[in-house]
Parts: sequence; structure tokens; C-alpha cells
Amino acid sequence: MKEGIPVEEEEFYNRLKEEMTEWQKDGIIESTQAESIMKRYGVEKKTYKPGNAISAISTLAVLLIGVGILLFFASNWELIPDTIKIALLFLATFLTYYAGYVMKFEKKNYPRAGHALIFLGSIMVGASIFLIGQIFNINADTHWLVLLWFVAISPMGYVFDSRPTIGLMILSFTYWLGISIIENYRGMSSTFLLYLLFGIALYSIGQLHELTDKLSKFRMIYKGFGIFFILVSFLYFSLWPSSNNYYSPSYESAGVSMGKILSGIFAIISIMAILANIFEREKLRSTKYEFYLLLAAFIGWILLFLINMYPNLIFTLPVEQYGYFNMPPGLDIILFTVFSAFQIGLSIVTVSIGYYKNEPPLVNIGIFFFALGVMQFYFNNLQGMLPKGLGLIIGGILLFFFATYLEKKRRALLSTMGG
Amino acid sequence: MDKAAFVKAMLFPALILIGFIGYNYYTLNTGGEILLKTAPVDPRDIFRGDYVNLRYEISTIDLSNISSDGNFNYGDNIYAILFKGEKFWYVRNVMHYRPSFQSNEVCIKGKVTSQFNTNLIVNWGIESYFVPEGKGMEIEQEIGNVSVKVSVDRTCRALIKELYINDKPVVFSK
Repeated sequence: MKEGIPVEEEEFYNRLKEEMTEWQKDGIIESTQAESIMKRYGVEKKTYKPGNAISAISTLAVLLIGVGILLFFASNWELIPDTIKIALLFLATFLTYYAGYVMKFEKKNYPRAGHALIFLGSIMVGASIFLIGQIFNINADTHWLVLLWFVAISPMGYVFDSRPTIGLMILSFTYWLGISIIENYRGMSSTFLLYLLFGIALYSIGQLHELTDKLSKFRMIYKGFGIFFILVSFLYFSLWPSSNNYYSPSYESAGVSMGKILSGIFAIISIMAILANIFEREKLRSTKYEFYLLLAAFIGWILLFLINMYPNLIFTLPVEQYGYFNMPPGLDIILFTVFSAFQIGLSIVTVSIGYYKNEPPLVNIGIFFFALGVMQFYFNNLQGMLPKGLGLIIGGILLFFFATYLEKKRRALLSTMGG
Repeated sequence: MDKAAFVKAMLFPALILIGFIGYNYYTLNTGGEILLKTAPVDPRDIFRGDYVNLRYEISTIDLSNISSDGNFNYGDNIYAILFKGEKFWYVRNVMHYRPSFQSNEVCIKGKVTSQFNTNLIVNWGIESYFVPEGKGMEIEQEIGNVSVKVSVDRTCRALIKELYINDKPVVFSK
């Protein structure tokens, strides 16, 4: 077939694209070769898919409906007795799931709308849990209601083949993690120490999904959230040394706690994934960059863990006596440099993974955090060397050109990757 | 996906929701009833959104006046044995583990949310009372005269059953 001949059949195009994605993951071809093949078949790099727009709009619509339902019931709808309220929510939740099932699986007439309804059903499970909590006057800040929501919807994403539902499941767990741990956690790193490990574990779970063809399609939702938490945590840790003190000792100075148990579980998952990247590389379709990412992020976590423990080791105070302790002189600069290097380095590795594995979301996330890292480096350090007004003007000009350059690079990379 | 698989999938969240209702229903309907006196708190903290933030006289415990099996730290679980006074229930002693108690006593489980010297602030899980939108002010204005009927089950878990202002049950106008 000669170069430039357009391919009419969408099926052929999709199949070709899927195959090339797989070949790239298997390391058979690289992005540039994939591009050449696409060119050879005259396939346009970007095709408008109305289905994607329908999915996006349906998902946004059900999000609005879901939030509306949550707010509506949260306003303690006093005109209806509690039993009727519960019955209505049960009915609405399971009818929504059923309507979604019929549209997507049984009649298959509106699969995308059906998909969105299944997602709405999972939001309504949460609304039901919170309403029941309200009826029984369970304390407003009770974190385990969110955990219950997470447990209740955890199989739904897999059963109904719904990535947004898996995203909702991850978000609900993330939220629970924050509100349940924050009340017991008071190290210098607050909850971010746990979120970093959570991010590594999430990325690892995404990789484990790649082991089977059936689950492989869910890998990116885990990896995307995972890399986000890794990078946002390192961004926080690169900012933290500027406060120049510890807040210590943490509440969690002794005994077994939920935070410690979860940290242990996340650490085990992370270590397993790092080892799997060495011994099961073929099966995982792993690139060396994924190994670097997980290893570097995990080493960074160990380092942070030791820094967090440091005041607890040198101060033998009773738990009730806590406060701020100044850092040794010069340590703040060392820590700032180390964690800025982690943040910027891992952003670049993320872009590389996205490029080599043909995953555009990773390229976007990596470039976004790279830009954030450079910006915070400027505002924290370079700006202070210049007079205030001049610093801002020069910073603004530099950032403008830098942002334009990065955007150009991002587009060029995505273009090379074929969309 | 066939219908049988769909029904199986739906059973999971349905059982969780039904179990959650049953768990609360058990505490509310099988537990012993006690009446607790609320304590005034900073008005800015009393009403948040659509629920009233309650604090009780038993929420503050001075370990120098009440017997305990040791010191308590922030985040510790705490069990208190309550005895009935003339009208309200009060703390007899506190401990770290679920105690055995007499038939005329009640055990309630909570969490230490603040600790300073011998003083503890305890959250008993009954600090929120949900009200219809905009109705929190009525209770806020009468907070000095509020008491709460609480149901406590055998596991020492407590749930609010009814709220009283001047010994009259609170009923919100429709």
C-alpha cells in the first residue's frame, strides 16, 4: 500500500492503532516507528470520535446529578419519613444500575449512556450510606462511612467494565485515607508521607493489572492516580524544608495504628512491584523507566521516613509534650535540593514512560509537574536574588517562554505518539 | 453480562447497605436508654451546616476525680461506666478495655480527642444531631436546656435516640 492512501474503515484503523500500542508496550517498535507505519497507511494522527464526546458529556451529566442527589438528601428532607427516604434511595440506586445494565449489556442500544448510569449508581451508593448515617445521627466527621462506600463500590468497576467507577473507588479511598489518618498523624510530613507510599502502591497495582489481558485496560487509571500522588508528594517535600522546622514528635510515636498498618501494606505492594520489574519484566511489559520511577520514589520515601523519625529518636519526650524543633543549619538547603531533584527527575521519567509506552496522560502529568517544579524552584530561590518588582517581571517573562516551550514540546511528543 | 451476573453484582452493595442499617438499628432498638446533659460550647462551633454539634458533661473527664486503669493519650479508645444520678447519667470510672458492668450501669465507648494533664476530652460518637436545613438555630438558642436520650448497646456503642429542650422532645415543624 502506498504512502498517503487514506484508510476508510474505522475498524481497521482502530485495530492497527491497538496493535501498535501493544507492540510498543512489548518493546517491538518505538514511537517513531509507529508513526512511520501510521504514515504509510495514511492514517490521520487525530480522528474525531463523537463517542468520546458523548461519554464525556454523559459522565459530566451524571456527576452533576450525583452531586445534586448527595446535596438534596444531605439537606435532611423532612417532609418524608426516614423509612420512605431509605426505600426511595434503594430503589433509585438499583434502578439506575439496572437501567445502565440494560442500555450497555442487554439491549446495547445506548452503551455510553448506560455506562454513565452505572457510574451514577456508584455515586448513589455513597449517597445512600451518607443518608443512613444522617438518619441515625452518626457523627458528621465519621471517616469509616467513606471507607464503607469504597468497599461497596470496589467490585463495580470491574464487573461493569467501568473505568470512571474505578476512578471513583480510588478517589473515595484517597479521601478516606486523608480524613482517617490526618487526625492521628502529626509528623513534619503530615499525610503526604503516606500519600507518597500510596502513590507508589497505586502505580504498582496499575502495573500488576498489566499481567493479564483482561485487567490491562484498567492499568492507566491506577498509574495516573499513582504518579499524581508521587509527584504531588515530592512537590510538597521540596517546599517543606523552607519552613525550617520539624513539628514533632508525631502522635504516632508508639503502638500499632491504622497509619502504620496501611504504610506496611503499601510498602509491601511497592517492594513487590519493584522486584517484579526486575524479575518479571517481560510479563509486565515494563520499561526500564518504570523501574527507575518506582525505585527512586521508594528510596525517596525511605529517606523521608528516616527524616520524619529523626526528632523522635533524638528527643525522648512524653507524647503530650510536642512542638516545633529547628532544623540544624544548612539542612534545609540540602533537603530542598534533594527533594527538588526527586520531583523534577521523576517528572522527566514520567514523560519518558508516557513516550515509550504510548500513554499520553503520563506525558501530560509529567510535563505539568516538571513545570510546577521549575516554577517553585524559581519562586523559592532565584526570585529573592533580584529586587522584588524586577524579580516578578523577569520571572513572569521566563515562565511565559518556558510554559510556551513546554507546551510546544508536549504537543510534539503527543503528535509523535499518534494522538 | 447476563442477568444472573448483574443480580449477583448488585447483591454486594445491597448487603452492605442493609448490614449498615441493621447495625444501627440493633444499637438503637436493643440498647439501654440513658439521658445525658449537654454542656454549653463556643457558639461558633455549635452549628455547622445542617447538624448541631453537641458536647456533653461526660465529654470532659478529669482523671484526678474519676478512677481509671491508667493514663490516656490522644487517639486512645476509652470505655466509661455510667451510673444514673437523679435524672442524668454520669461517669463512674474509665478504662482502656471493655469492662464488665452491673445491670444498673451502662458502658459507653469513645475516643480521646484531647488530653492535657489529667483532663480528657472524649468523643463518644454522639456529637452530631442532624436537623432540617436552617433549623439549627432553634437548638443553638436553647443549648443550655438541651438533653439527649441515647441508646447504648452491649458493645458499648451509642446512638442518639431523641433530643429534648426543656424536657420536651424536639419536633421540627414541617
